[in-house]
Amino acid sequence: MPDTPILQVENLSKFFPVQRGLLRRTVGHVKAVNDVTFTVNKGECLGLVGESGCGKTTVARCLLRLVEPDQGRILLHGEQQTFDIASASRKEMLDVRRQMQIIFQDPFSSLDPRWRVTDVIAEPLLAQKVGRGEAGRRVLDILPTVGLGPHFADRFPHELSGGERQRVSIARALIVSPPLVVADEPVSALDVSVRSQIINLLLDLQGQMNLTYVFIAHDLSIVKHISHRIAVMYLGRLVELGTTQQVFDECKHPYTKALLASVLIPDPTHREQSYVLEGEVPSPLNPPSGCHFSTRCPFAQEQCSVEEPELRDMGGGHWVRCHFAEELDLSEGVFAPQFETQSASA
Amino acid sequence: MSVVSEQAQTPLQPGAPRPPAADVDVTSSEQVASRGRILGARIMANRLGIIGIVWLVITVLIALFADFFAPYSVDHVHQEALRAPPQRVHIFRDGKLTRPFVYGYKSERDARTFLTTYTEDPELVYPIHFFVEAEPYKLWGLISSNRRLFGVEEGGMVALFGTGRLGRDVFSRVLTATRISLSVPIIGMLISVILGSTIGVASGYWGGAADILIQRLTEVLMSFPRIPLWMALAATLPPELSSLHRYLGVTIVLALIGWAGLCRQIRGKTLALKESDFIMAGRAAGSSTPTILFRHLIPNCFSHIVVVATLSIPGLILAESSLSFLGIGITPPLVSWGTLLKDAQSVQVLTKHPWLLAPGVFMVLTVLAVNFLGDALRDALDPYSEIR
Amino acid sequence: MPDSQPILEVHDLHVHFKMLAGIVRAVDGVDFSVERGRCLGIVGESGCGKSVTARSILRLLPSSDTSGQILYHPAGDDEPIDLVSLDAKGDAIRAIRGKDIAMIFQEPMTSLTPVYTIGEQIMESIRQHQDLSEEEAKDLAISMLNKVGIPDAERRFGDFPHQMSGGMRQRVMIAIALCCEPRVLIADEPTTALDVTIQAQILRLIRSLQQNLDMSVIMITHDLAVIAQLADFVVVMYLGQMAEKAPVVELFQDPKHPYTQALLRSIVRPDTPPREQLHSISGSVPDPRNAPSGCRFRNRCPSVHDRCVEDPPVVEFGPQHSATCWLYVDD
Repeated sequence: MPDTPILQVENLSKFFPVQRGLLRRTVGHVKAVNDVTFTVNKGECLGLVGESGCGKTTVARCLLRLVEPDQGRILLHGEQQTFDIASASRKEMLDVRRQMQIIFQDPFSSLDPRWRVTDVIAEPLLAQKVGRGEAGRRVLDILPTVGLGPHFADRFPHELSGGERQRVSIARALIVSPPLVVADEPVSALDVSVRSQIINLLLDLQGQMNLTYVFIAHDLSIVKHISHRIAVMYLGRLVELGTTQQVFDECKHPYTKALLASVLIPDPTHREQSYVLEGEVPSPLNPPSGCHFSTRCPFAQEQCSVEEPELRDMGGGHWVRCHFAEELDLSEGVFAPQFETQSASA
Repeated sequence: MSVVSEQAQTPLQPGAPRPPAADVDVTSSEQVASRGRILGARIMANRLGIIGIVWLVITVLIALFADFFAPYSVDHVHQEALRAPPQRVHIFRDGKLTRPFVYGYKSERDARTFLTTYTEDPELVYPIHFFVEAEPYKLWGLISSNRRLFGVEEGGMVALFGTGRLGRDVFSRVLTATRISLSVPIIGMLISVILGSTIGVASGYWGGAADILIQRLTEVLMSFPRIPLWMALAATLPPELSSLHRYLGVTIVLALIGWAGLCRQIRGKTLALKESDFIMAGRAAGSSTPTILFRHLIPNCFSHIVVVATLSIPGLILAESSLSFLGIGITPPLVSWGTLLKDAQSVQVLTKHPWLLAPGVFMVLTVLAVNFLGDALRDALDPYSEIR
Repeated sequence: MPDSQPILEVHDLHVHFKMLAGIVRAVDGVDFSVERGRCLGIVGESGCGKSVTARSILRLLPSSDTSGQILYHPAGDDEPIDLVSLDAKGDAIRAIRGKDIAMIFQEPMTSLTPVYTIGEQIMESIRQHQDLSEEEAKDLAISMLNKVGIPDAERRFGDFPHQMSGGMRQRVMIAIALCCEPRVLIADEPTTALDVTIQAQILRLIRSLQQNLDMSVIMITHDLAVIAQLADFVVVMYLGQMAEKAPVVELFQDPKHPYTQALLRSIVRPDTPPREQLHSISGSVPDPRNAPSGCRFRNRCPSVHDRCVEDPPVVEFGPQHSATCWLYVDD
């Protein structure tokens, strides 16, 4: 596909102040998102992965201006004009919200328990000053698109199952026909037998409505399945960015490799878990000096704990934040290949 | 491959018709009881809650129709019976069933102590009549009537709870006092709910310096000892105020102190809800702040507000009574349970005239009933409690 | 496995709850046995009754209506004890809980008391079942912390639970569970709340402890990959019914129950072609209060048949492999 950017995130940072005491004095900052730069192209799905506390959800919230970014620009190339979301006015944000919507992780908490399904789905339309009658008609139009019957319109969320709720959540995001959708862990709260339905639905809708996704997840096998490109985050930093193939098969950052090696394979005949990353994710309040991963990295050198590496282009749109990205051989040795092709049982 | 065991709990019935498999589409949504019905069922399953509700319904009816239920007006004086004990209602006379009646009093004065004691006089029989014509009254200041639920013929008297120092019927006075003793806490609660939830929601939602200021203010307000604070504020009400203005003044004083606790509770709830996903979703949808506040946040705080407000009423009942008891609350001609209890300030009352404590009994029962209701509501609204 | 001997046998277990909305048959006829030193996996989705099954082994559900048999074979040649017949609050079950059979839960934060240090909590657990002096208990506690891979155990002994990360707390829970050298460890979704790299650490820990201590493990999870990596023998549950049980390799290679088959097809595997439609199971898991009669999977089952409205039979495919389904019974 032609790489036309629809969203450009430049040097995005968000530091949450840590406050203590009676007068809430600021004693430090959690660098939730630290100088993150990436681009999302039209029609693609960009996967954003990392462990808890890596800042992926904060990135999503900054993109929607649900938290105020501290630094950086978020350029959204709309149909007619380009917005900088980071500095958009309230009026511009209303336009932005017609171009970009979000699907939340937990379908149980992201729907107001006191609203009927039709009101939930219509909320973005009403915010855009669409009349109630028109909004109601459009809700009835979109319900079959997400696989729900018209009788769901009058139900309350507590009458719905998790999968049905997530469909409502998807309908709410798509009701204003936004070209860009941020999906924040949309399947991780769902039952196993329902997950594949929702993934299929997201894939279908992307084809039908020509959507672009930013897909945030911690489940690497799902991210691999749905994404064209993948960004890996660790402690607020982007550590690797590339196509799915580059990240999964030719990864250059030790953290990415460790993450891949931790993925459990649903096959009892492949049990060798040759490499398990030691230690814990350090506190984002006080991240290690130099390379944030240096405390857990099996290849860490002296340089790593002193000097913070830059995100460098390795060619072919493959970006890596590691001093030794060129030299490290991550294909074997301590890391056993985990995502090799296997004959899966049927 | 072989069938080893039938897991069936019920034996298979070969002749029984088999429904087609297609109509077994049981979705999760069809048969789940609605929220309101679950709530109702949960309250109904709470026995104390039911008792509370029944008692409150009775007292509210009494308060509304006190003039009708009471045989006398508040100021009706029975000069011949001062501090007379409660009369017993009899239905047998000479071994025969008759209409209910009471005996009149026979008074004897103890020559040494000068105390008058009253006993039943079998000569004086006052049959009780229902829906009698008696002292006229104006119900709610609007409807003139002279019908009362029960009474005795002219010349007789009925005092189910005895009489007070001035010979006024305690029963009638307790019923009438219910009005003030319920309305002050309820109106006070409404004012403090409006104040507390407005300030609490605003403080929690916007945060910042105003939030810090409001929270410190409520902390200061809550750390003062209650009774002196009430007394100080009530003492600022000018003594020349009319009884009605004083009533309003007391209500406002109570509300001004009561809102602080509620405000903190609502602020906490707001803080929790503000970060919740559906509020985030509302903001992501582009909804305006008023929509978020009035359509998402406040409706979801509502059940919490109801519980906190209900549980604040007992405190207000006691507060009003305390102030009135101390003489800085409700003043005559209005009566509340607290003013009535002023008559019961001595040890003598406990030993010789215990019926003067009747308003206290009403107060205790009402406070308990509201607490039962509040607890039942809280349990019913708590999503984690499952009453079996 | 000729030398295998059961340590825990569950026969025809039923656990019902009376709710306002009716009776919930949370577990309805479950049969399995746990062998010494082996790992039994119980897998299923929300509402399948896997956690209820685990809790009823330790009789942690006193308000439920439990029937069936849970036979525990104590050490030595003693007669097996039927845990169902014990008083849920009595001394007999309390002596078994923690000492013979221990349990770890999904959210370690809620299972630890916030006001005591983790050291105190481990020591309390030790001294409840063993007659040790304070010093001996402390030494044992520190050695347990070392064993579960907590670095700098002596210093962390005085930490409060909130000072630790989720993974460390789960290690502490495991240390508490292991301090009396239980013969059976029940792990209820022990890694669901953890990150992938931490999950890998915890699973590796459980596996090595199981092998080194000759301990039996009951691993309860919704994640088939965890089962594939850890279990020797698997029970698949759906809405309180046991759909299938089999040795792990047989289950993944030759699933018999349509639910197991569909579940295994629906998960993303390394070789799943990217961005292709996944196999999926239609509908969603019904509310347990509205479970269909007969086979509870029937309204989602691709092979549904008229007779599925009646309770399905248990069909055996081998000494250890059985499925509860009408599909393999000829009319």
